[in-house]
Amino acid sequence: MNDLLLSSPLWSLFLFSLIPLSVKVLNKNREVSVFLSSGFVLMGIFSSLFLLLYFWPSSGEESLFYSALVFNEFRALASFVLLLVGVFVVFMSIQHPHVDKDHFSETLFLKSGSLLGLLILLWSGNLLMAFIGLELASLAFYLLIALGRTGSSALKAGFKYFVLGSVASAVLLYGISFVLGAAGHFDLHKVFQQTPELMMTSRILVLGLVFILVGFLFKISIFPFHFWLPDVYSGSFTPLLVLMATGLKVTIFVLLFEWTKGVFSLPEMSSLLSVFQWLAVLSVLFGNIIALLQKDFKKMLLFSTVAHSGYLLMILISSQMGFYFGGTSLLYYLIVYVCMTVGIFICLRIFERENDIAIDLNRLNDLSRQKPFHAFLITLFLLSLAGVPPTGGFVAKLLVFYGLLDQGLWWMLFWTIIGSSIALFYYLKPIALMYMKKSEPIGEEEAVFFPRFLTPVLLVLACFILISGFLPSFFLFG
Amino acid sequence: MLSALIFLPLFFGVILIFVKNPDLCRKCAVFFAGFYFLFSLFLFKVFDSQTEQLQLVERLSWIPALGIEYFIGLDGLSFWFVILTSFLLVVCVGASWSLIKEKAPAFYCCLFLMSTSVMGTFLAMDAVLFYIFFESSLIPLYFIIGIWGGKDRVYAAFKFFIYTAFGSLFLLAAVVALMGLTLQSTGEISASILEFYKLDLPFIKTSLFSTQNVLFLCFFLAFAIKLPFIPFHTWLPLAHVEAPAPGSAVLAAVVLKMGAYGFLRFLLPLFPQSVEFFAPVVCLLAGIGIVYGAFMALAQTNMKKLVAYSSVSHMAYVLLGFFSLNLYGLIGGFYQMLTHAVSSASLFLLVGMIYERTQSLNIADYGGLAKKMPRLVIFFIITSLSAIALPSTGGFISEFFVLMGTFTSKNWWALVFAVSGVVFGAVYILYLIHRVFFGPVSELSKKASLLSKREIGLIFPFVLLVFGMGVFPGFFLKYSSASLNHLQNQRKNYELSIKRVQMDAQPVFQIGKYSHE
Repeated sequence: MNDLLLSSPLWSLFLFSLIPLSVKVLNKNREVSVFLSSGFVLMGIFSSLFLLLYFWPSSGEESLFYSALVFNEFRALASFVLLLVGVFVVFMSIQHPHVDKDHFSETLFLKSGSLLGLLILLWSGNLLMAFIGLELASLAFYLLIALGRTGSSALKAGFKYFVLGSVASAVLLYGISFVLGAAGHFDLHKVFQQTPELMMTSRILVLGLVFILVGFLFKISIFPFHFWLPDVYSGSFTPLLVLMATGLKVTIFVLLFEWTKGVFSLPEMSSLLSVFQWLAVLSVLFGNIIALLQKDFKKMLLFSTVAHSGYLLMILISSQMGFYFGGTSLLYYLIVYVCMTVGIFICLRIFERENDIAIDLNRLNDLSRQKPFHAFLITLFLLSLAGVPPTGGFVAKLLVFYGLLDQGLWWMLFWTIIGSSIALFYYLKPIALMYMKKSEPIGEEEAVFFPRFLTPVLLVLACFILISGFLPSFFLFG
Repeated sequence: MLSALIFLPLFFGVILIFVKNPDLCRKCAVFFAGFYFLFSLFLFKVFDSQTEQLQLVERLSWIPALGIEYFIGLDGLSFWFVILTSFLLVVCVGASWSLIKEKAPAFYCCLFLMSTSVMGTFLAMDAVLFYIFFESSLIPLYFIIGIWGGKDRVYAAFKFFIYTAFGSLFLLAAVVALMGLTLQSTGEISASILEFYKLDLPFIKTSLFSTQNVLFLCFFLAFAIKLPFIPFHTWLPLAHVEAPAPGSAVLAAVVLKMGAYGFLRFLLPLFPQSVEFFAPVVCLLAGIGIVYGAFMALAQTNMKKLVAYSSVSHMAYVLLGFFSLNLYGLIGGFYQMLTHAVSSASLFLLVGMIYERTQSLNIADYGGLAKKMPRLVIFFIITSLSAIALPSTGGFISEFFVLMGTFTSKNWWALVFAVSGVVFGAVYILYLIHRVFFGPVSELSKKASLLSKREIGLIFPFVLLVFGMGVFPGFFLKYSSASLNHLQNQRKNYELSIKRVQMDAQPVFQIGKYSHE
């Protein structure tokens, strides 16, 4: 019974997400009201937020269902962030031109399903539960991509992601079976901590570990596994894209953090550590370089997520090597990153048309004259992404630097500096276009629609970015 | 008091951006800037020039987990730059009165925000706070150049931002490293500069990459780009040419000084052995920079570019002075920062006034301007006299001290370059004056009209300053000499203490008073 109660945030999310779907079925398969259905799902998310706060695991670790799910304060905080992502995504989907109005309830259900999957993944106590959670989220993603009204590319992108994603999942499952064979159980953290010598002796374990890492790094688009980004993202609609870019990152980074807690300082892990280090450096460099070459604003932002994954991985590495503020830094970076990404994609709403997914950089020309408010906010979010003070992004970057130096990783720091300097180029370019280019007058059909209810959401995000820059100690409770 | 100095412009700037009427906005901006300047003059009254200690300190815990504080204070090194910043704000707001027609509120907002960040840079005593202000000064200037600049403005603004931000990333890394070192040595992390001064950084004579040297190079890169120092100077002429006249003036007078101030505040006291280690190389490069800047200036066909290259040349004197490692050089370099601020800001404003009338910066288009704008020519010649270091102007004092410092430090090659640089400096300025102001009146020069009263009022303080700094250097150095002496005498183990307010002294501002009666 206690297990059921503790897992109630998951149940409530699931039950509430069923409501819009059943209402639609009972109403002769017609959509009721976009706001009403979204309201139900939001209620579900808020109720699970509330339950999360109610059952806050302030006293160490709780394990549920024979430790299939594990619940501690760090994971609870991450779930909090994840559910907030869910709130933003639901807000963004309302009246979005890419969301099919006839299938709105279905998409909502799938979105909360993927959120549920991510939560399970986040709480997972062993590899098998992690696999179940990841698959639940991924299945919802495959469907959602294909359901988007983004022109012919939606189906193509959905299918591509399905093929690539299932290969990654298969690899992951294969790896899990290897780990089971080598260690006798599914708990990766236990493997690392209790029998680290297996890393040296058992080749099967190492192979399994490589497979598992490939499976997870694929989802968070760390450097050599980022190739699917353009195809899939260019076909999926923006709210979903935000969910995939931020939700998956929050979950998997926190999970990796939990698994590798305190193990990178062990001598047996040195090879794994150096693999992580190189992946982080290469992600930062390549992500930034590829983003620099993009002509499309959305694609540029997406490739910059590769670089941000790299920075996050750096925090992860330094914290597992012994950086005291590691956990706090990771969460702080994730929160700020979520806010920046959500904020900028909400701003981009003014450019979105049905069946048209690309946002050429040139469309930003002279935006400051037509939409001064949005231009200002885009500038703020971009500066934060670039890590310029006084924004939250700056403090996040400071923490990355501090973590690396704390562990004496000078060489990584050097490449980070180079990468961040490259990033300045493409983060400044849109700002220059918005404020400094004069465009020819645009015809009537370009009149932009921006739903009014999104403005307060944007303001909250912007305030958060500024406050987290000015008063980070408010969040750095460590 | 110091917090008010930092955040008043921010407050004013935010107000200004909401004033829609450009005329009203202009008036408000002038009023605000004037008020701000008068407010900053209070510092003369409360500042104690006798001590090198840190004064008017305000200290709050900010990010305790990382030892970062909101820690600001004033000493002799920063005193004049604070005054200079507020003075330049008034002048620039005045200079943009008729120049900026488009988006005037946003322009004034940028200028005021610029003042906030520059003021913060000069007052911050916490390294991370310093970095935040140092870096955030880029944003308003980026917009000033990029929105209100000339034809190539976007590229210029871009280059400016990227160059300086690239350097400051290394600065950030070095600051974070120093924070880590305070943790190692005292067991308590701190980003306060005073704590940094207490560090004893490892230095190995035979190795180029000892800890001290690496940190020195990181800091040096950041500040040398800002200064700008060859070979990192290429952003400057471009930014100057494209920026509107007030933007150029701020850039030359204040922003470049932030780089030079960084040398005084961080490099010289923090890395004494590395400074000695690298001094000959830096002096030589500075000497080359002086001559290079002068020659480049001589070759320019664009007036603003010429003045910009003269900035490169003059700022190299500052570095030469600092790295000659004696009191003469230090004073000379410091004074050169002030005189260069005055002369280059006024030269940029004057060039801006010419440009406003004729819309051309090309030297070949001009000739005989003296017949059309006699007063401007007089002002121009007077301020450029300071730039070529004629006795009785401020420039003479500073360059004389720098040369004396170089002589004492026995950097002969640098001395040869620097002395010849003085001569070349005279050549390019006089050649410019000859081509633009004298000779037959060209077509374009006919368009020029006399200076208005407002413009004369803007330039006149500069003329007074040029002579004032030349005739009464004692007054200007009085406020900084204690700090400069301290910096020189304690170079090997520099420490800075906070001046305690005596019990009977009243705080400047007091909110709420408790009495026992």
